Amino acid sequence: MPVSLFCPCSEPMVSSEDISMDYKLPRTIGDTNTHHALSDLYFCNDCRALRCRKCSEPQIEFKFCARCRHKADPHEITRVCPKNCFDCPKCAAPLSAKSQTHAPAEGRPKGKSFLFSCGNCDWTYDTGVETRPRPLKVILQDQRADMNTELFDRLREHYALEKDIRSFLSSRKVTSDDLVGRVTPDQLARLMAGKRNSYPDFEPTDSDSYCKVQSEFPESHPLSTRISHICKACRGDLVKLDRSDFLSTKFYKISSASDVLPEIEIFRLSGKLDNLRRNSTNNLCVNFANSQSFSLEINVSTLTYLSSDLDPVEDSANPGVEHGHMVKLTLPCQRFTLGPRPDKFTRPENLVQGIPTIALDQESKASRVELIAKRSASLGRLSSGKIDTTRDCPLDEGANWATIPLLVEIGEVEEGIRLRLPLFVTVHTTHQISPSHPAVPYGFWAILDLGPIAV
Amino acid sequence: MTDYSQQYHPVILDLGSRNVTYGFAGEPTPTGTMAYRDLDIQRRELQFSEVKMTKQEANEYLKTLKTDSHDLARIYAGDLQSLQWLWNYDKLRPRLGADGSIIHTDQYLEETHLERSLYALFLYELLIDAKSTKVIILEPHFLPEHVKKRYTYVLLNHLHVQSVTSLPSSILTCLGAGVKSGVVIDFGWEYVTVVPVYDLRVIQDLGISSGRSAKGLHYEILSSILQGKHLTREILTSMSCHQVFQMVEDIVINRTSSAMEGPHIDDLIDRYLFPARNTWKSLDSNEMSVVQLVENMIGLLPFDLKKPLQQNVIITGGLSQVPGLKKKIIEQLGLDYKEVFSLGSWSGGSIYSDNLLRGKNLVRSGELRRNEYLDGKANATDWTSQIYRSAIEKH
Repeated sequence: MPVSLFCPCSEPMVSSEDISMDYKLPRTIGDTNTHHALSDLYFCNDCRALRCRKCSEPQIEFKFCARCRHKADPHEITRVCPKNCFDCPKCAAPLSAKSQTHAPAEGRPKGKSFLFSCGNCDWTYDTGVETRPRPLKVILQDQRADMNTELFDRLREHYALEKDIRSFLSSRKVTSDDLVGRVTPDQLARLMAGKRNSYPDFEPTDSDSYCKVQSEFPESHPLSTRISHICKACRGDLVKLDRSDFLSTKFYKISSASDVLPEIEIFRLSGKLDNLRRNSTNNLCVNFANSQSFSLEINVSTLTYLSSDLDPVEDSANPGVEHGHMVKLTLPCQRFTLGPRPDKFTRPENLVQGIPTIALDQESKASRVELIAKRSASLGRLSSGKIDTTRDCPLDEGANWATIPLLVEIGEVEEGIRLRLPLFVTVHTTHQISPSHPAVPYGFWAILDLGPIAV
Repeated sequence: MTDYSQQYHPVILDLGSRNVTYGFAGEPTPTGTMAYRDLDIQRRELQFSEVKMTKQEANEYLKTLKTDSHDLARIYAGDLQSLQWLWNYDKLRPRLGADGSIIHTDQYLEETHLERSLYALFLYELLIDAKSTKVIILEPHFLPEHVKKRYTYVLLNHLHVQSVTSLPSSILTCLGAGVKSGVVIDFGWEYVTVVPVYDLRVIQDLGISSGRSAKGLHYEILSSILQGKHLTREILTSMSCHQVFQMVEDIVINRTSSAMEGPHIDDLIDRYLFPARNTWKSLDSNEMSVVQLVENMIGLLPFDLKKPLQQNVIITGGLSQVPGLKKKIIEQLGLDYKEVFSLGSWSGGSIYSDNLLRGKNLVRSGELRRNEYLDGKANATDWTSQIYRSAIEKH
């Protein structure tokens, strides 16, 4: 994943007195757990900030069986289909069930048996003859009950009885009638006489006699869920489902970061992006593409000197000092404008206008036509292989995108170290989404992952 | 139709070192048991060839494993980095930045990993909103306070559960056996602990533990495999850390491997878990075998408590699944001892929460509520503090 975005939700909370100017980078920016793909993030318009999985709260709106479309209460603790949807315990494929009626036999009334078979593997299961009409689920539940379940039930009854006896002796909320049949007459008499040492004993199970029945049963099909998300900070909706129908694929609201933030891609000015080497100078370019229908003012900044593994070290105040063990970054163009996304951008002729020149190839007619139409000046700059650090404007621009140069000088870093470069991007716009959402600028850290450094 | 939207559902979690056992109170068996790394939605397979360790780390691991095999130390480093187990009981493990400041600690990584695993657990396994649950944690006897604080923070702060209640797992294990008194032997990943319980109260001073448990056995077997040249550097390089780890686990539980033969595995497990009696005097406190621990602990008990405890020995924990282990322990302890079967602390917790806590004021059971926690009015404390506090409150 060459470009990921940093979510600051894992940053330690510090008081204003403890904020140190020694840290030029967020403290957790080196942790890859805080790096997310743009497609995995939300954007909260109220907070004007990115929200990742950790800082958004999921809410289960619907629980249903994808097979039989049975809808369950999302607040109830059901995990599996309560009806007759079963999966193979070996391969998880759906099971088909066939019933067979059995004529009455000697000592046994008429009954039915059910045969489960898996269409994927050879697994089968026969319930045997059932003489009482019961749901399949209940039949399987009874058959699945083993010594564990039986012991659990016995223990539960035993402790419930102890609790009732305590209640009988102390507050008489439980009466003697409630205890009849659960204790022996002798014990009941002693309890009624107020003798407190009349708790029944539980005979523990000898480990040697315990034998767990190992068998495979049809597994109930797990339910599916549809989930909405809210921002943990302001409790505003990030993803709101259409509640009219649990099977609907519509959303009332979806605040994906990819719909708001510019998409960032990284390219090498000539050659492939990989194979960065120690003690080398690399001419890269970073493309920003706007997916919104209004223009954006972009400011990009980064540290001049960086240690190679994103340690939040202090940037050197002395540019003349040798930094042989570090990486030096030069960003000649730090301010530019992205135009609005073209109308009807799904049409090929409009779609290709949204592709940066450096990414265009000769594989399709539309891209070849676009390359021919490109200005020779920008093509010249892109194919020169070198960056002019005195030029403070983008290398190339399109309808809704801009490509800016980035010079990366790698010093004497350790071999195999993964080079990750942070860029801080600030987005300004004059467009107001709604009266309640003024045009407030926002910023975020983008991490450019350039891969391991070779010798 | 019943409206469940205002109900809080009790969820019982057993946060082991490697696995989390989960389910709803009232169920006879847990809904499932999963390894943290299997729940981790952002997990990445770490290849053995990608494992890096500093010289300092290598020395530390060699010391921990009591070996001079750098390959073994590197495998250990890979297991730590691929989070094969979650809780690192060595509290102070900072990673220092170039300027000497602490940038990451294992505690931060544990918290991050735990949060991701529990998020996935609630959303994809239990299919319930975490904020509509009250969580009951089964607390092992020697759980360090910093671990308790960490999982409490994750549950209340990140996942927004309504409350967290910690219940002692040794007492719940006895509940799961239907006994009021007994010796609870828990074979965990890091330690084997022996806890005496009398009348459903832990005899606090006599709980004892040793490092001769699953983790030690795991690396002992791995060391033997490396010495036997079955696992060469070339083979290791082609495997992921998880594959190497799983290979050893299969050997211990299923006895299936071409890397070691059956009788050799049995012999090694025996020698590691049951060192000869004539060597006991030379073993330090962290090397004692489980038999030695039990005998020492029983020896310190008052005379009238010995028999009730000896007659109810409960052996639990992941390593207790090793075929023949329980029988061997009882044989070595002698005829005075008898093992009883327990459904385990999870099922004991399920009975307790469902039967005895329901309808009661949970606060007396040490329930830590989210609003009080966030307001700073309450915090997760060690269970010894709770005992002393309740004793003071009584007077």
